[in-house]
Amino acid sequence: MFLTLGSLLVLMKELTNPYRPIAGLQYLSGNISGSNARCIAMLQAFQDAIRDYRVPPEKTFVRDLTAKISSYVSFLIECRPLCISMGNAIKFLKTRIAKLPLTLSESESKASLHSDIERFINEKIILADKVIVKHAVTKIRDGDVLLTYGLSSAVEMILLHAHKLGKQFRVIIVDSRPQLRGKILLRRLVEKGLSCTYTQINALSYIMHEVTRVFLGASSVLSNGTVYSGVGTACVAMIAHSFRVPVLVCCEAYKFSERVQLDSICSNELGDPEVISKVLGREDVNYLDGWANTENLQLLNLIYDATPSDYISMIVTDYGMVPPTSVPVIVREYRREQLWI
Amino acid sequence: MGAPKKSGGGGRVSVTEDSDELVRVPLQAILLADSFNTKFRPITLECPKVLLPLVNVPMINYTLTWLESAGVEDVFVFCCAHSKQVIDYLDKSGWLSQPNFSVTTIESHNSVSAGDALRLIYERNVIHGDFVLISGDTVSNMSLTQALAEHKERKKKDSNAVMTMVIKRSKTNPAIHQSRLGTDELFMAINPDTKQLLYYEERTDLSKGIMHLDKSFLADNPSLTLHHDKQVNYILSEGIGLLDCYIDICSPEVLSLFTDNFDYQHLRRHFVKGLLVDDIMGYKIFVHEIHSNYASRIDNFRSYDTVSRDIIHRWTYPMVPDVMNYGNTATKLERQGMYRASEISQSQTAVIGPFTVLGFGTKIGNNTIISDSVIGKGCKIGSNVQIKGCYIWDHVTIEDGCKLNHAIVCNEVTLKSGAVLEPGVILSFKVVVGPEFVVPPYSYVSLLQQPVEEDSDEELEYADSTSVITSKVDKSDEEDASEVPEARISSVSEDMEFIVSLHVLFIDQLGMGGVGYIWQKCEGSQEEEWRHSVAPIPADKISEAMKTMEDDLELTHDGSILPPSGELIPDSNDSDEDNEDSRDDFFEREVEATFLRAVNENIQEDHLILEVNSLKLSCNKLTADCAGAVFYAMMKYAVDTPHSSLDGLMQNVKAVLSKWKKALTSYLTDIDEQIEIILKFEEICLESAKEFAPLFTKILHYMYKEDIIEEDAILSWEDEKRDADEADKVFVNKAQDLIQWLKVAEEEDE
Repeated sequence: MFLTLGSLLVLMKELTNPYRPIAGLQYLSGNISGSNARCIAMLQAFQDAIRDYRVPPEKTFVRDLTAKISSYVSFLIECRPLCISMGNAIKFLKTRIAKLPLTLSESESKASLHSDIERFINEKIILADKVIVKHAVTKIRDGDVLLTYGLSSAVEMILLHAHKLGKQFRVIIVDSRPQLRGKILLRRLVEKGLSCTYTQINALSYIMHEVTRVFLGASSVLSNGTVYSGVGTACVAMIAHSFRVPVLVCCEAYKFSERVQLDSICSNELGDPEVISKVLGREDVNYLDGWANTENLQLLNLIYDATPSDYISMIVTDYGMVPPTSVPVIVREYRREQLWI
Repeated sequence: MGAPKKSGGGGRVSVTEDSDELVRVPLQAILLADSFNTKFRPITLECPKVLLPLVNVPMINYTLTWLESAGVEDVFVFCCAHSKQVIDYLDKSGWLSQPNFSVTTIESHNSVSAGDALRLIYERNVIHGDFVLISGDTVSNMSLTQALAEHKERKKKDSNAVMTMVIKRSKTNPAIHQSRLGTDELFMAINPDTKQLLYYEERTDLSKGIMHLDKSFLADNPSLTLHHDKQVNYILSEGIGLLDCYIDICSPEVLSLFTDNFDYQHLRRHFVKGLLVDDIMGYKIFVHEIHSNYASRIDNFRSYDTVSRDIIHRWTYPMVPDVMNYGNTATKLERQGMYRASEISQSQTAVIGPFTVLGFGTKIGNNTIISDSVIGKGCKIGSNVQIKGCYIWDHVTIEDGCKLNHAIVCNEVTLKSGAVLEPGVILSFKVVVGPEFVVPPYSYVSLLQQPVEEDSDEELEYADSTSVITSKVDKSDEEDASEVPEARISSVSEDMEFIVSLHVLFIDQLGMGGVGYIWQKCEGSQEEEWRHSVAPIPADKISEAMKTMEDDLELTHDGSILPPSGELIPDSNDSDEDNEDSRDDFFEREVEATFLRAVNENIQEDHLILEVNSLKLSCNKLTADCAGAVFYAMMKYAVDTPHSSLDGLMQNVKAVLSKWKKALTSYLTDIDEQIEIILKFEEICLESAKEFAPLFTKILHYMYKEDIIEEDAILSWEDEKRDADEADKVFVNKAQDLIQWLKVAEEEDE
């Protein structure tokens, strides 16, 4: 993460023409994953960028900085499409810049922006996670079998905290190709002594019999209660719902969006199709080698999917535990609060 | 006893793929069916280690099965202690009569070490080519093909490369990884390029992390001299966390080396270190690292526990209970690592937890709780028994109310009601524990008394074994405590007559009716006892080990900064709305709640509209539904607001409607929605709030005046109602005045 952050900064500083294609940018795409980590990395990069920023002569601080930030953002988008949490953070930063009093000197403005970003990271992400953990832990009882999918930092913290409190429970980690990020979670949990079961998403309907609760992370929660998260989440939630297992989604409120989306096709991110055609460590599975030459073949590697609110029993956020239909309340409350900051 | 199951022939390796070799030499293996140590005492006084059941199957089966599947064609089983039992078992189980897989036993009564054994085998002159050296307590599923090929390749280039050791990288927490198998800490230095083993040191001293390397050791290795510190660091970090699997591929020279150096006893301590130190002959040892396969040796009780668990967790596949049954009845795998053989009678109230193996014909009583344990054949377990992490062998009787915690209980042991086994207890064959007796932690209990002298740890466990095993225990006599010990001991062993004189002590040791000796612990074994026992490692020992390690991965959880805030909205939603009705209700309820919140918290109309819109999307509703629901919510609010008379109510309605007009009208873009509102209003007047009935016309008129409803809507509503029943037309009739007035006004306009 540090390496990527560093290279991001270097690139940002060197960025004279934001639309200049820079070789090796694609490396950025996978190194920081998880929307919290990406968002924090971006905000910290902005902090540094603002620190090093000098107002060109005959330009106003607010206007020029806004333009600069926009160019950085378009550069980031070039590396990888932004996730919704990053979009929200950028919106926040731009509002802050726009609202800077004109009377402030350049250094004062910078200091004010710096502390604003710092506060955003601390309050909206770090503290929010702690509150989420506190809420969600109350939903874990002794003897529970908890299922989670992929890797979510919030869910990880919840499980570790519950374990620390001495609750007796078992974790089932469901994972899927090609990212297999569940393995990271598995490793961290096993190291801390939690009793874990690891399985692939194909075995979901078998394992769901044993499960008493499903904890999922989210990239965003949309205004109609739809949860926008890593591909496969919808499937897990759907199967849990059909087995009458409550599904709890853990998501910080800053990731909420007023967007409304009914399916995952109209707005999504497409990953590298190469990775789904190859199986790691299995040279014998090579049926798709040279697929690029085939005209009537298209490989679809979706990154996200949308889980309808029907399959979600509860969303755990820093404002409490709410049903998915109450998301607009949070969006409204949250936006109002953001204006106050 | 059926013949052992053959694993698929695919794994069979043809050793003589080399076209250079004219004579085809079958791959041979030497299996040492003796541990040459005393770590499994007291059990090994009566039964050879290789026949101890590992998940209900004698250990040697795992080793032989692996050798067979790895392509070995010729196995020499070297038996020493209890050799008769081993040979009998191999004969009975059919290993001695396998086609394509010859098992030959070599018996010796005076070998006291692996060195002696190999010297004897050399004298017999049966090994002709490369061979696999393994002890009979190894469980593995690795493929030998690659290791063998590497070995042969090296041998061709350098005739001094006499041995290839198989090692495995241990990925568990480095602080406790050696405790996992209870083995000593191991330092290996390996040349990363050539895979040559340069240094091998076993040590028990955990406190000292410093290893002394000879200067010359570095000087001798030209590749290391350049980057002194860096390379050493590299090599050390390579070495830590490696496990010696005790599977060696040896060239025939190894045997002659043992004969030449008659003082070599221990394979690792003497032979490997001897070769590494000896630079005159220049013999070299290499390592082969396996990554994904399983290989582990059972060296002590802790590794017995660990390997058993690994088998139950299926890391050793295909050597798992439901695939390999070695003459046991078929075992079925159930959810959460439960293995059940047939003919188990289990009470309905018994709770059999995860990762447990139940053997053939076992009986389990009421309210008994068993978890993480292995239960052998024909055990009788009473009611209210708690068994956790135990290895209970065959034909054990456990009476009501016993508590067993991480213990090994050998064949035909009896636990009287209420007996308690503390963690780490080993009960050897046929021991009887008296009622309510608590066996202290880490104690070893046996019918045989502790051997008085312990010369060294290389001592041979040799006894006239046949008499031990064939000695009969008459279960009906058990109550008669005063007589049984005498009778039994005399039949156990002629050599141990002196025990009889001590039989008073003998009785007291295990409570009323108890039979057996609790062995005294020798000095200095306190440290070892937790490391080598089946009991889980005590928490303080782990934290001690952790303390010595830097653990920087600790996630910080202060979490006490914010007070726990309550839930925003009570959990009103079970996401269970399958049918439309509840769905409708749900939507209306939600809209109403949203509206009330908007009123109480004085929220802007825009926000209210936004929220209702999103509700509309999430519930998949039409604009008309929203209009109806919002109107309903408003009327409900008006009724619920305190009022004294009809006029008061009318005032309320006016206030609400004027205040939230915008919210309502945003849904009334079309005439259909307006009609919907009127219909809704009718419904309200008829059902939920009859108070509105007298005010129907007034309110309707008010809404018309306020432009909430257009006249077209009212007229089409009337139109719609024209053909309806009289009952439905109550309000149309009521509003007749208004309608007439509207019609007149319309005509006038024209």
